[in-house]
Amino acid sequence: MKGLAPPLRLIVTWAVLVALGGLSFGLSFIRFGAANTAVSLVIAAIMVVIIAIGYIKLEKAAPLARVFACVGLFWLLILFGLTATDYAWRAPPGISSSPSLRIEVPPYWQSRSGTER
Amino acid sequence: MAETSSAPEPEIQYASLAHQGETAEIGIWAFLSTEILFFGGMFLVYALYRQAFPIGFAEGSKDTKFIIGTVNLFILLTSSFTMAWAVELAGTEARRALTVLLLVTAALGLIFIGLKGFEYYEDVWIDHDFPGIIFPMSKPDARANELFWLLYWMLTGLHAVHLSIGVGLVLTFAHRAWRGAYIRYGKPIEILGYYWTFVDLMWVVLWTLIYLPGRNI
Repeated sequence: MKGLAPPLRLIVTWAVLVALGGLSFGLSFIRFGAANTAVSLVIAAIMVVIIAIGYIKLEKAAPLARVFACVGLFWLLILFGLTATDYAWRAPPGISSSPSLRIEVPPYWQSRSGTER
Repeated sequence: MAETSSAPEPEIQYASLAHQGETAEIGIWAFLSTEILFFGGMFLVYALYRQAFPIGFAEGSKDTKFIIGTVNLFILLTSSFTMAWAVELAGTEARRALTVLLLVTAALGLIFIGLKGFEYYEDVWIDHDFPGIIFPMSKPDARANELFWLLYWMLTGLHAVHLSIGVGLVLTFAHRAWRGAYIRYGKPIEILGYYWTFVDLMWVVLWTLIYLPGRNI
């Protein structure tokens, strides 16, 4: 039947997403230190954008619908941003200085983390 | 097949089908925006605690079932593919193909839930990775580790609830598709696709946050 096959856009989107997932899986075993988290989050962000464009076709949605789609992210940015103003300026992390929550750090971690918690 | 015999008419409160469709589109995005904040609040808590307790969180994450989580990632990415494909066929005469694609999407969702259930079984009954009196305090940085597992259960549990609702919706829509409800008007399938793909998208973020840290310890 004509027109039943999936569009090439969907196939490419799926293949790229699976490749990125595999890449993130593989990279998680390699020791980059603090960069591990950054790399995995960047790959996740790329995957989210690819899903939004490839599967959801957000760029083709009605303008007002696109505004509504972005509003959630906007408020999320405010949520994270305002919270970060506290955690970015209050150092060291206040939680660890609370006696009731003080935890023992295994010796092999103390040299890597660089801080006594 | 009665639904196919009449030309599609907008509901009484809309001027046209396009008007109705755009309202539905804005409605689902308003809903999904609240969902972004719903999950986002928990992501924020996760980020703060992980920053405060990096060791406990890495140790906790190391004990998650990485292979099952990753297989589930690929399953959901594939289910979004079949869903997006179904959206392409909505509003056309391809009634049978649309129904099959929706059924495949629901089946992939059920496989995800099945694997997640097996993972939960191992977490609780074999590894005791559940916050509370059964949690093994012999683990490194046990209290922070337990905190990680609390967030693990909250986040993945919430996601599983969303996915279960999604499977129910997809099966309902598949039944209607089989009866020919979306031959002339495919917008409802598109709206359903937004929800399904959003749930998949949340798993991409969750998988990155929960399963990846601590693998190279």
